[in-house]
Amino acid sequence: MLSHLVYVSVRKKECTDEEIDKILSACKRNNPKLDITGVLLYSKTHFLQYLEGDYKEISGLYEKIKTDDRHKNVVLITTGPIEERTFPSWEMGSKEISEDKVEFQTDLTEAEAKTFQDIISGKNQEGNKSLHLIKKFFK
Amino acid sequence: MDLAKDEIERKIKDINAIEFGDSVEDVSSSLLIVMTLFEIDDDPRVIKACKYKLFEGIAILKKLGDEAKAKEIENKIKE
Repeated sequence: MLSHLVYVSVRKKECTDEEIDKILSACKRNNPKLDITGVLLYSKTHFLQYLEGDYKEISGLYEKIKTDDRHKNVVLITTGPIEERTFPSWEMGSKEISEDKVEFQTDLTEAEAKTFQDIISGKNQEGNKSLHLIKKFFK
Repeated sequence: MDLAKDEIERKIKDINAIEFGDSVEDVSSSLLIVMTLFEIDDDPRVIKACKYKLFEGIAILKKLGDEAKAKEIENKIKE
């Protein structure tokens, strides 16, 4: 069953930007095999990850992610069935969040970029509830 | 599998497992997570777990001397 899962966590001080690059490399290496897509957002102090894929796969991945010692206090925000993927071409995009400007470092379609930009800027008020919290959480 | 029940149980388990640490910065970072779930979730069991954890964090903040931050969160809970 196609589902999504969102969690937030506290980024440990030891988790440098280089460590985040390693996380993203691992996502890009492993997620296609599991048919998982999504986005990892991070600030200096927090992570927020949005995963989409088969329910069992993303649930299993979530339990594994919780044991990663680069973050702590991992909390599930929401999970459940979805009709279609929001980021179908994104094996794991990433962005360090600032409120005013979002520049993407990953390959994604123009439609996906627009969806994300609208969410971050607060223009998209009709979409998925869990995505709206991205803006709220990092504000 | 009852997905809704599973989701609620996992959220409560995650919230209960939070350890705030012993610095204002650490406590504040974790409180933000709990407050996020407290504000967006609509299940009374999840809200209850969040509230309990928020007060735990507030008590630690007060012990650490950040009365202003503690008061700010207390007011948000009452809203």
